[in-house]
Amino acid sequence: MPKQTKRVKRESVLRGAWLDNPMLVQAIGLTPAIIATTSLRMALWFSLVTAIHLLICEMVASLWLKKWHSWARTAVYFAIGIIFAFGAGMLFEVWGGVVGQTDVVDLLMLRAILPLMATSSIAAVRCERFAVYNNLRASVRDALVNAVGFTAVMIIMGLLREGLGHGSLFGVELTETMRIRGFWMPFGGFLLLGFLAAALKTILQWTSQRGITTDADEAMEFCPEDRQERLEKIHHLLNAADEYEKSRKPDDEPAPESQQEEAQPEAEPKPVSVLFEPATSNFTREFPRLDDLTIEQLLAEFQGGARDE
Amino acid sequence: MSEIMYMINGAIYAVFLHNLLFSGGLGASEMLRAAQRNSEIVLTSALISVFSAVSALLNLGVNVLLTSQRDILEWLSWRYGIFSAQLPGMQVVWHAFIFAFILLVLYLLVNLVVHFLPASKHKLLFQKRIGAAALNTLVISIPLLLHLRANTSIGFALGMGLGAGVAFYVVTLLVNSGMHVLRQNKAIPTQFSGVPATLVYTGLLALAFTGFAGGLSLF
Amino acid sequence: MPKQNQQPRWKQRLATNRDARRWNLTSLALTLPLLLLGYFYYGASALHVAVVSVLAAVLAELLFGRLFLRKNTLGDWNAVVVGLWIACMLPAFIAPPEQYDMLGNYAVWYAALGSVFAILVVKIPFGGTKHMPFSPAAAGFAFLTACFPHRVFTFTASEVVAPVRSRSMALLLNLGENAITPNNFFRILFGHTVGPMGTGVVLVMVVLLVVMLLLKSRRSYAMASLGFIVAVAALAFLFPRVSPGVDGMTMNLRLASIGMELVSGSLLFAAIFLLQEPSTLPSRWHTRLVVGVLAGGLTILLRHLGTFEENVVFAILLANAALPAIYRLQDEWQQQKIFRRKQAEETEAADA
Repeated sequence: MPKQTKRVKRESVLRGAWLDNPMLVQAIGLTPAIIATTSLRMALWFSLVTAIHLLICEMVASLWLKKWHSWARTAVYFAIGIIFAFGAGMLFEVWGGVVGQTDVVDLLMLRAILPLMATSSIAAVRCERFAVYNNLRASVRDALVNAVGFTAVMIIMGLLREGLGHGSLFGVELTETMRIRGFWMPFGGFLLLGFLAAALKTILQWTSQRGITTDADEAMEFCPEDRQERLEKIHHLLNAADEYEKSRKPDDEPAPESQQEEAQPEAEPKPVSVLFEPATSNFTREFPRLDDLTIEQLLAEFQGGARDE
Repeated sequence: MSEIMYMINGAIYAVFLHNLLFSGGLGASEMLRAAQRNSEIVLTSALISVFSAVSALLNLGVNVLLTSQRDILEWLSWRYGIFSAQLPGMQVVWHAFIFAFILLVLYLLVNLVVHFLPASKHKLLFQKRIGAAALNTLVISIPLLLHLRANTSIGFALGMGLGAGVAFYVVTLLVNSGMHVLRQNKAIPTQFSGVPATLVYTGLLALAFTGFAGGLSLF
Repeated sequence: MPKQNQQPRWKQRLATNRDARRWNLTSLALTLPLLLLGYFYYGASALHVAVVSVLAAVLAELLFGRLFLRKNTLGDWNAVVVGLWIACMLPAFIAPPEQYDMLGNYAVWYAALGSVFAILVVKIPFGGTKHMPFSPAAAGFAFLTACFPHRVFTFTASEVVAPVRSRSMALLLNLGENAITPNNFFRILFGHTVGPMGTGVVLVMVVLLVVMLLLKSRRSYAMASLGFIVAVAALAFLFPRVSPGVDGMTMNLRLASIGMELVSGSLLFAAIFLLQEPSTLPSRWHTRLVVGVLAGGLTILLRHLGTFEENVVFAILLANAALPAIYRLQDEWQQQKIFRRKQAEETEAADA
């Protein structure tokens, strides 16, 4: 099991939601931003359901799923999402039937798109990138950070798209003149997301908290030349790891865990389990920040992880 | 012959008339991730096609079965009070639950089969991409859309399923090539470099596809 | 995995600001006759719309260029040209709803909105005139079409000349009607139709295309327009949208279909002006011809399958987006060839 990374930053939840915003920085969970923000009420309800889903997934992943295969973990996130989507859909059905159709048209539409939340990438990606490598407290904090960031973007998108697109807020008509259909259309959603991301970047530049480049930008900048450079860096670090191993005297420090396991007498072979094996690959291929990983993690990454070449 | 025409209609609908990615943002996150990785676009698109088509056909069967068992469903709803079938669109919630459950079972079966295959580079590549390709808003939306449109044609369902993968490939290729252009463009303002420019470029692509769909959302 | 081609494919067509200014001033000079004709046919409203559109584009570029690009980008006159082109594709007058009579001509507001969209969304985020991945005027009008599909195609007839039909040519074609007869052929050429204020006079646009072909700086770009027109004509002949008559689809009807496709909407205007965006076209004249053919094919496809009365701007955006994809596939194919050749050489060397 990989050791805890050094990437846990001690920041406030609000600042984390801003700097590591799941939609505007990490570019995950974009589908709800396009579909579920055509009205503010729908955006709020969708955010609430997604936040609970994310929290529970990260808690479950952190507590019980660390030793599972990544594909089995993904199935668990999906199953949790289905249960939530079904429960929330039933609640909206009952509410819609009680209140009356015309008042809650957008909620009735919501029950058609809630199942998409089960497959939304935000829970799976955050769990695979963070929760399976960290303890419960850090995972809960990460879920809160991402939920706050997700909700903030959904609210802003809902405000703009409903206000400017339909000329209303919460179903209350504000203006008949100022209705620009493009805002509630899907292309308007993409453009608004892009401009919100640019606005966030501008704010980050002004406050100089993170600088210009973020994790997602490094990933977006990726191209084969970078991969070659990255491989050379891994080779260099592996050579450094070999030299470190050679230079370390046998009596100075206890050998790393992997060598201790090899030194032990042959244990009984573990039963092969389909679900329970050390995770060697992630749900999505994430480019590790080489400077943050320890040498053992690098070795595991290079030897155990998949390569495209 | 008519089923083949329906299939072609379904594919054209999914790719052009109402491009699933641009008309609903379905699979947008996975599309952006795949657009960064040149080597995985074809495999991911093929897997999306397969999963969409198979789950669409299975769910079509379930749809027909459930519709024919309406009396039982009404009895169940009467017996258990709050699950009233008189509420508008109640069937959608049940159907969505069943569609998602079928997709989950399909995903688990495929992974179990791949897990027991002999180890190879291709197996590792498959394992990496199956999760992203199968449990995807794009794949789960196909049976939902077919149900919402009350479409019971096998050919149309198959065409839409296969068209989902083709649509994913076309859109990812367009965005991938756009990202290469943007990467070579040093004049992009710093505020827009990276994710913002990519999203704006994707939005303009979506605007281009609006000529087919008229900008109407899928749901 | 073979290495990526190191050389950037997207060299700037307009290398210096002077080149950009010269290009845009030429475009402006070529567009002014159409604007004057619009004023002749539709009166002061046409000028009003054009002026507001240009002003909006200029102000947007002044404000957002300073904010994001940190420099004055007005010197290349591109904002003026974009504003003018969007105005030319709009009706001269759009009546407001009764209760909003004080807002006057709605076309003015739409023109301003389209111009601001073109500058703010299509130009500024990508670094300005020399780096635009899409044609800004096409994107601006596409935005207006998507947002106000009925209003931007609500045309009023000219008070100076009587139109051949009370409906626009594009609408007639969508209904399968043929409006071209030997009696009104020349009237249609001279713009006696209901349509956008700056794109009706077919004869003048043909003359402008000929002028572009004669100009040395524009000749290779005009090949794209030529390819576009030829593709539209060929596909209109093969897949006519005009309803067959009593005698079926005769040769005359097919030829009339070509005429209807070419004169309807803003097709010729888009082919001659919007398609020739330097930053969206390849470098050589024969590849520009191919891009033009692609855009023409997409136009006919959209006219058959699309939703709106006029779809040519969406086809141009699709052609702009398709070009990088074609280059991408071409690069990959070449790299795979090189990679396989090197592998074969290594295998031969190993065997030897």
